[in-house]
Amino acid sequence: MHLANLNPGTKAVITDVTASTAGSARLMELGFLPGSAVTVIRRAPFGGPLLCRIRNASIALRQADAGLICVQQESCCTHSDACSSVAQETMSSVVVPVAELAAH
Amino acid sequence: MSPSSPTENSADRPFRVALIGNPNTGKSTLFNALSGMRARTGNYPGVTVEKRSADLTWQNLRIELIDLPGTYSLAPRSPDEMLAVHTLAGTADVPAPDLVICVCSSRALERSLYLSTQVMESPVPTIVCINMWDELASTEAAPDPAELGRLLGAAVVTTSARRLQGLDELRAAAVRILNGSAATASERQAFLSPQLQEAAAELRMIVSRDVPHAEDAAEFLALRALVDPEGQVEQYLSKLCGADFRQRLSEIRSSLETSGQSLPRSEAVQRYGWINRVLQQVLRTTDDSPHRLTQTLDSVLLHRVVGLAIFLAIFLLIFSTIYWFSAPLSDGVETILGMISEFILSRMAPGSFRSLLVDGVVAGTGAFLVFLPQICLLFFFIALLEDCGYMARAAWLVDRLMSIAGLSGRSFLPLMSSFACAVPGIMATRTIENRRERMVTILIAPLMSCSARLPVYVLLIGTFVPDQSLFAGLLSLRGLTLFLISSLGLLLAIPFALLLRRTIFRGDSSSFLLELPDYRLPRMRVVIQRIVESAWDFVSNAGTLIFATSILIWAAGSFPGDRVERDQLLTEYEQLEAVGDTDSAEHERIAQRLNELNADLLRGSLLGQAGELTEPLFRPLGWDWKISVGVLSSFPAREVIIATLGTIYSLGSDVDETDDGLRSAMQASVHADGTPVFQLPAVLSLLVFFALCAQCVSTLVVIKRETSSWTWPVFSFTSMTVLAWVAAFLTYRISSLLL
Ligand SMILES: Nc1nc2c(ncn2[C@@H]2O[C@H](COP(=O)(O)OP(=O)(O)OP(=O)(O)O)[C@@H](O)[C@H]2O)c(=O)[nH]1
Ligand SMILES: [Mg+2]
Repeated sequence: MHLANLNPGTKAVITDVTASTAGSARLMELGFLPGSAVTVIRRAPFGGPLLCRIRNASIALRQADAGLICVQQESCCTHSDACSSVAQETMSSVVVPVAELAAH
Repeated sequence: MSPSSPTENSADRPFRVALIGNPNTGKSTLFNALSGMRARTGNYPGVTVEKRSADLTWQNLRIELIDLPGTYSLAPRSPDEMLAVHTLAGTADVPAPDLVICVCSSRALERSLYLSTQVMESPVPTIVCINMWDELASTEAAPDPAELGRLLGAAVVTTSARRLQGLDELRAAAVRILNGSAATASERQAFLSPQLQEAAAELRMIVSRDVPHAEDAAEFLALRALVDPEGQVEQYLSKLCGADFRQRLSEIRSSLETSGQSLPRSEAVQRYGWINRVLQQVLRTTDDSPHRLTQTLDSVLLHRVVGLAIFLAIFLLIFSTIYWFSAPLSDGVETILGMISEFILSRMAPGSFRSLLVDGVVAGTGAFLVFLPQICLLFFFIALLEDCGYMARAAWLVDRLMSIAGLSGRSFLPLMSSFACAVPGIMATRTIENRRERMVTILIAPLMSCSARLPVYVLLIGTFVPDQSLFAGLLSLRGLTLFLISSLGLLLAIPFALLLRRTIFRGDSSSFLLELPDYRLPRMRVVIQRIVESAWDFVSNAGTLIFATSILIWAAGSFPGDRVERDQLLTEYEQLEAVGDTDSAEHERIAQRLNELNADLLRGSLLGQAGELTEPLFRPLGWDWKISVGVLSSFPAREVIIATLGTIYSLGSDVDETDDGLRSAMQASVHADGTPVFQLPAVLSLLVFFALCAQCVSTLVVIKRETSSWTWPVFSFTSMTVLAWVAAFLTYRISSLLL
């Protein structure tokens, strides 16, 4: 399921961000990353941009960009489209430097 | 990577301290608070587009404080953004700063720290400044600065720039680092995975070998190039480094890919992962909803029906109000000018100098100053909308509409500011990421109805459009006409933009990514400052350009010509008036002769000849030679036409109406055959011409500067002038048939 299809008010967790051109890099800088919680607050009239809440900021983005973001609704966990299976892979393969933190 | 040692700083150079941070985190507010200066601020991401600096002294240290445009990361996608990386690396023309203050927002701390950790990888010492501390919902959501600083490996200071709180602590922390008395950055954190760090360390060898002046920054540059495939840093290094750099880079990237770390995703994942874990240690709660006020206001202002209606109402109301409010104000200014003319007339004998003062200076410059109230009002509304946070909402609401023209909501603020003045409007396009979209916005910005057009509109509408009220007094016909003529440029800009996006600037579809800030109470100080600044711009413009043109036009309208007879007659005439003899045949004779002389002198003058010469060009638009001269003189700056018309009509006017002002002089002016010059069709064609023509040298110069090419100002000038002529012609023809 994509962010673009989410109903306003529903909470969801991002499962994957499709790598494309600069567009997806910008999204990731703003914090649209696998595992992050996201809420669609509202949609602009006439198919205009979405307004999302992510990492304590309200970000407006177009439907096309929202289409790059795969999500899973918090309540249901039976979604198993192509999107989330890719996501499992990415999430497990993320290497994060925990060692440095522990060193402190 | 050792930090540049502050002891190297020779006494003759001030320490350079740069403010870097996400858009709208309060960098400029902090800059103003620290320096006492008045850089522009506003509740919209992307207010600052140019760096600004101030010279200060902090505890005997000379400081050059630099305010920079906001950015979300150090992964530059345009040469403009690349400047930030160059500055940090010291590879720009200017030396690297000695200290960076990373300004974070207390509300979106996690996101703000993303940039901070990138900056901390540069060789420049860093202070993390958490601003907007006053906006934290509760002390529960507040991190402990000392603890956070220990985990980050950087000094952390909290400020509330808007309330001038925390400034002393910030200055003290900065001085400690600049003096070298703070702990050095030996405890530098690694935010990314060991593989990435090792790869950067390896590439660093090549960079420090091939890139001059990059010793300290070599690892920083190598890392930035590595994590941002095909970004500006990679392009920059590829140019300078040998072929082995590119080869190693792609080898490293593919080996990282196989171990599951594809770029640029891994940078974001690892960095946010690191920040997340740190924040979990220092934050007790995570409150993830906008302020209550913002939620409530948004549910109305962003509502799909109500929100759009309010949006339209706001802008309609602005234009109506400008008209309603400013009419009495303008009358006041006009009365004062009348008194000044009166005073000069009563104190001086007729002659060239008196004519210069009254007909040139007062009539010209003064006629123009009458419109100052309107300009102030317009800037008042724009500043108000921007500072409360509504502008970003408006951008969100219109994005869909703008996408039809191949643009995005990002273009809304530049275009809206262009309603005040195209110059700051065009500069504001720097926040538009897509180059083609930005170019198109630059080219249509001059079509927006700027405040310099307002005087022309108000003069013509106020003089020739009947004063009626519509819809049971809700709107005035004049207000509505003003709204329509002000929207004309905007309406034509849509097809024009579309055309450009389909031809010269076709390709990559636009995008829209904008943070909507929380609503904030607009600060009257900021709003008033904005008004004063623009009013001063306007007046000083009137004081120089307009003043000079007034005199030039007066001179061209007065010479050549023998004025001896006229001045003599005028003296006799005023003597008769003084003794109250206004009914005799003698008075009648002199008045008639004077009127003839005035008209003849004006026709025979340089100005009259120039008008005659150009009249055929403007004849099809329904104008006489006086309007033609006015329009010609207004090509450097459109507001000049008011001064020109003021001078022309004052010079050539009949003696008994010299003091009635420009409006009545225009109403009374007739063609040679006795029909009035200003009939509605001619007035409308003049309005349309001014709405669309590129009569502003400053705008053309700014277009040149922002596009770094003369092609675009020339293109803009030609296309707009042709468009204006054709549209004015059509207006004249069609309205002549209809009215
Ligand atoms: N409550 C509160 N508001 C602040 C504080 N500092 C700045 N603001 C507000 O935040 C908004 C943005 O301030 P600016 O100084 O223009 O922000 P900036 O970082 O320079 O923004 P850009 O130039 O667009 O990158 C304005 O409305 C300020 O009034 C603060 O400490 N507390
Ligand atoms: Mg700023």
